[in-house]
Amino acid sequence: MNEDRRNFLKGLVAVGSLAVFGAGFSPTVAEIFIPSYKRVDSNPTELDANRKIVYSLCLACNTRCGIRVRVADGRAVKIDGNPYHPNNTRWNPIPYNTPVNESLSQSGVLCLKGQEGIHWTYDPYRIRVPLKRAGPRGSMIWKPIAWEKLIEEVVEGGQIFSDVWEDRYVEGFRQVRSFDLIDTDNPELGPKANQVIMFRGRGQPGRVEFLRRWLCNSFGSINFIAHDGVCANAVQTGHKLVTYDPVTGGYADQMRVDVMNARFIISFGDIYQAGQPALVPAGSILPGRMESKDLKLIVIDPRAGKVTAHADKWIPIKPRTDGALLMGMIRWILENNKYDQKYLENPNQASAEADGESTWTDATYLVVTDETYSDYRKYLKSEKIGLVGGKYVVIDSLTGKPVVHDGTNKGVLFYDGEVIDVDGNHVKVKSALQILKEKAFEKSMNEWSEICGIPSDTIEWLAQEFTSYGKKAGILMYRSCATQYNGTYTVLASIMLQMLIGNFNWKGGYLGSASVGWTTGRYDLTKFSGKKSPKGVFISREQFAYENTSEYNRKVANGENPYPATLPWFPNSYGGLWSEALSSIDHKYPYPCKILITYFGNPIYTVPCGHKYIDTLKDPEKVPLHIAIDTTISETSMLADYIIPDVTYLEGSYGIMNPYPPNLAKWMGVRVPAIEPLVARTEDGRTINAETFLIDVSKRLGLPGYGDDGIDDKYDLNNAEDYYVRAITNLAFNANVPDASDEEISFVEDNYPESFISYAKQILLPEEWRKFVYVIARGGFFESPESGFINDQHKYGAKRLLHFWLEKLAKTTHSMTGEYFEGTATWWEAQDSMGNILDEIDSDYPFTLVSYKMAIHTQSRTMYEKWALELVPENFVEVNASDAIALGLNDGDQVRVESKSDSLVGRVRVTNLLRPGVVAISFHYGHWGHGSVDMSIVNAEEVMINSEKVRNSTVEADPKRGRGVEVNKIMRIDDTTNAPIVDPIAGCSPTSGVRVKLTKL
Amino acid sequence: MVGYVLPNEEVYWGILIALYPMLTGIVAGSFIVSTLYYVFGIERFEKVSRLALIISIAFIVSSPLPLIADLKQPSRAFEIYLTPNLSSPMAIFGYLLVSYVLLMVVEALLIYSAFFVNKANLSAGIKRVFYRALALGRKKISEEGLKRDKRMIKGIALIGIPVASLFHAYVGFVFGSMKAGVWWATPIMPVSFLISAIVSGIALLIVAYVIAEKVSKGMVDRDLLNHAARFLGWFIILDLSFQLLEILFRSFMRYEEWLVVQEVFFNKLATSFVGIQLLFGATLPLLLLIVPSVRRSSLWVSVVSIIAIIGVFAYRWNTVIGGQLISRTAEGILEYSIPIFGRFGLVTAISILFLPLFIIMILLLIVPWKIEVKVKTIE
Repeated sequence: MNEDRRNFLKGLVAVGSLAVFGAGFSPTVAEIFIPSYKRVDSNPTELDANRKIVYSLCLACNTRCGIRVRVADGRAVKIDGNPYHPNNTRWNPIPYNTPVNESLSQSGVLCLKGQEGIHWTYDPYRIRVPLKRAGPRGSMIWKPIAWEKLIEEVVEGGQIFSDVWEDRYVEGFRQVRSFDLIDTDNPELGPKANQVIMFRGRGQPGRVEFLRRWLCNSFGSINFIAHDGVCANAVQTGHKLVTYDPVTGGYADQMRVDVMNARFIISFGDIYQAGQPALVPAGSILPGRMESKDLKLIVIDPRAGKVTAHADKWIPIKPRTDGALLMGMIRWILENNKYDQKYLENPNQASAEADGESTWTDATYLVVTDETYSDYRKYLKSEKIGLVGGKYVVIDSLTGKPVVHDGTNKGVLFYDGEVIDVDGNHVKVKSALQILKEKAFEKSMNEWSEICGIPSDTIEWLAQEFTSYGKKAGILMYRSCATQYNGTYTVLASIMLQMLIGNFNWKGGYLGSASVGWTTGRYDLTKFSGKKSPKGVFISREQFAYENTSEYNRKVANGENPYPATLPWFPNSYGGLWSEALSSIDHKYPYPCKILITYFGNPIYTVPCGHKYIDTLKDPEKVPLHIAIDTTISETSMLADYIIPDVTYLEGSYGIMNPYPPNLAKWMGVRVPAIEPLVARTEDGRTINAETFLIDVSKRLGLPGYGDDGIDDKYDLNNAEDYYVRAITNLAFNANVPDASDEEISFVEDNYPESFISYAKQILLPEEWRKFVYVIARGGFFESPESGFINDQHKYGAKRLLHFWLEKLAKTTHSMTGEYFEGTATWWEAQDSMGNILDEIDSDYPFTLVSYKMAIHTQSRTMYEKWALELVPENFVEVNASDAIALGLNDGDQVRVESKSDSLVGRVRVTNLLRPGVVAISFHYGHWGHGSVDMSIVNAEEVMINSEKVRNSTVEADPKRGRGVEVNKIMRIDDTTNAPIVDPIAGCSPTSGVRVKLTKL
Repeated sequence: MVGYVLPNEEVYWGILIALYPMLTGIVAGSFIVSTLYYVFGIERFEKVSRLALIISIAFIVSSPLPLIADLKQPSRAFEIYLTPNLSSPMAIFGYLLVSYVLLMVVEALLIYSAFFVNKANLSAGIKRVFYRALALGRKKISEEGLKRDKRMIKGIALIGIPVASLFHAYVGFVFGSMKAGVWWATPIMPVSFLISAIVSGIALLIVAYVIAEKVSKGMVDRDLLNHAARFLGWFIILDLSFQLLEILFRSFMRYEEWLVVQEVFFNKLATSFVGIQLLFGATLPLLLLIVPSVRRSSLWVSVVSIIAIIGVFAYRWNTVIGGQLISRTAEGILEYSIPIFGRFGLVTAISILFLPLFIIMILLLIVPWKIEVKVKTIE
């Protein structure tokens, strides 16, 4: 071939091969320029006799996300999210009626804590057998005790500790259950049965109802003390005060901004990562929203938590001054008329609805501000000025005259003047909004700025932005605002700020919860003969006014100044005051404790300065009998006399619950066991757990509502399933779910734990079984998110009156100072029980401490998390870089952190993610129980869930679980009450804001 | 699926990824052959040295393509350069690629510099500019210049040996370092890959040489063929030795995964693994190459080479896809069926093979693979 011919051939081949290459490769090139987005389904798990899948609900924290548990050979091996549950799917779940088989190839997200649930169930420090102490309290010496013996001892009492050389006579449940008065001089305290006190730790709907039913309605004690006081009960207190309807008794206990649709959110704190709704349901929505640039997120926190990664701005506020910021914003909004005037002028439901609103406020209602008048600090009553009785009074916008609140469509917002009552008296009155305005104007913008450490123009910018998005703006706050010395007023300010723009029940605004009832329906789980209504006064002095006590009345009768009370009282609190309950038990005031039950809670670790009560719990005079229901031996249960081994959520701990607000629609997650329980059984084969304990105590005592015919006098209540299977059935019927298909029946029968399924099938009717299966095969009942809004209004938003003026609070006297509380949002300086300003009495402590939660841990109980401890083996004393330089501190240095009450030593971490002048220490670490100390347990091999840590009779400590520092140690004890300082209205324990000093060691 | 397999497990790396080490292997292998002359000065291999380099260049430019095609979002490939990560072997491929291409282009320019100079002097107009550019502006050649060029070529080719080796061995490293892949996790993997790469390189080169000579109506150099074939044979011996060593150790040590390994490679993939990879694709060629007359026959050697290439491809297939058929639980077996069409299918893989062909044609339109005529210098 000559050269040209060869070249031609080469050219031909070249062109041809390029063509073939181009044809085959062009789709790849196209993908670069026109990317396609496809949802790729994963392969579903192959299920067989040894590989199973169960849908349930997580309990690694309280966010209530769904889970799908993979079980291999009876062992839970992997936990993932539930694609049916809105929490795991960024509120965009697969349709509820998707056949279960199809759901197996869909996915749902789940966080580290959820994944590590397996490490809790198989934690080598879990106990499976009931224990009794074999030494003095707190000595960490235990022995197993037979179930029947345990029940006998705690019920009958006697000299039950003679085996540890304690002679004293102990009253059991039988002796304490008397309905004679505790103290005839103080009859309001109630019956002796009230001396059984239950600290309810992590409770969720499901078990909470069961426990309360036992304690309050069957045993008859009022002292069901939830843990809200060490959580965010200022939030609930604030919301209840604002939303409470005395006629219906209805109220909202909390609401949250609609993270899915809001355009502007101010997040106080790191809640989108480490609170509720947290990482999985809400935090996971943020990146997508930030990317589409239709959400502006501002984070206000002395510390830059993880959520600031998604924020437009981080504003490093001075600790515990969020209230001042909020008041400053309120001031600007009122001053510049940026509030929703049309909304606020509506004085009644009809005019609100005419404006398309589902809520209305008391902004225009007149309040008596005349000190001499009998109704001082109350709403002006319509009959007092000769109008139709039983109504509020507003100044009519048109006429300028006072009318009844439903006699006009528009009231005057800012009124400061007089009315004349029927007797001709001149009564000074103000409209509720006027009072708020005066509070906001008590300080200039510069003064508000001075207090919170944020420049005035930033405060103004915030207020400007907040009012620029119509109703699609809102506030996210929870513990950040609530667990402060001024928690209640801070929460109130955040709620009232939102009332100014009228975002309640609007898409993108402030939304509440939605739920489906399950305590009644097919089965009435609440009714039984002999049901008691608890009476008396809570040991924590909550929800009862000091002025109603005999003590108060005696003092007044004697001409003594009744203030201060012996210990503070919290009539307006939402309740759940562990700190105050411990203080009462310590002081034996208002009455002593006889039996303490700590359920799934660790007050010694969790209550600020809780370790102060170690001696209290050790003292048999103050706590004669202490029973703990727990899975491991925590700092609190180590002081108990008996420990009931409880199941973890993978084995039971049934629940039926909606997630934290905002609930766009009705979303009810259901928890059922995924594996057979690992705890021991009673002789008749029932699993030992909280329910079995309470049931068996009841049966021995013959208490109403338990045992044979315990439910509605028709159905036996002998084990947990008797209650919860019927509860889930109620949910299924109340929610009107369809019948499960045969395939789904097989799915549940093949995969869910045999003992649970066979028992449920036994006690339900066939038509009930089909609906029951439908629900548990999907992990609950979930409406589609779209169904929650009608014309941008939340379908489940309650129509209600919102209060700027909190009459009940305004008429409440501070039980220690004798002063009235302010009746609306106000700036409340951090102070002790006697009103001494903290910044003054602790002025020689230059730093302010903040504590925080991490997204990878939950309060006190997650030292079992192997992976979390790998990531973060310990916590540190975090100090701002400029402060570190001034003090000569470097990373890793030992430093003493000292408050007026106590001190701790920790390691420094220098950071720029913290406001100067602030010290930050996280929770979760610094344990001295929960596997971090050796324990002596007779027959440890039998007692522990596995023998990984057992050496003869010792259960060896894992040093990894005891690292770090316990921030609660240095919180502030009140100089007067000798109990930790709390917010005076809610009784909420502050977890931030104590003044400290740092000393390099 | 058989046994216990994790629910998110499938064969993620398919035909495209099985193709990829084939391409890089040819790059490494043919480059090594070219160094036999340019570094080690074995005169016998001079004839094929340039062809080897051309093949190497064509394949290295094409080698990233199966990887890019396999990405769900292909533009992510360029992240390697935009966000460098030196602890990632896969990213290091990206850096090696660029340096290797540069090396080879420079080497090629130097090898052909005399040719370009002459061609420039003999041409006019745009062609002259073109060739002058390729000659890097040089107008004449001298003995001095040629000697210096030769030294530079030697130096570059010498550097090229570890780069080429690394370029292919890193793939072996990526597989060999995967703890969870029971078939992959062995330190021998990079070595084994490299050896078999050289086998494929030599084999392809032999085939290309025979075709090239036939097309240009030249005489196939039997002596060269013989030695190339022996070279091939020795490397097949090495290749087989390493593979059999691997199997011997595994079957003797009997780690718990042996059961599933046995099931996959000696039962499910018996034809592909034992049949094609070991027997047909390696033992048979070896046996044939023992026979001297086979080695001297261009037809037979070509056939043997093609069989060897098939054997090496089977090795890649069995490693990449066979290795993924073993579940990470080591208790189950996955299924894989090759998609034909679609972005990740057979059609895409085959089409990628046409790019090196295209590049070779273009390169051969510019430069000759055979330089017979003595250099004429023109003042």
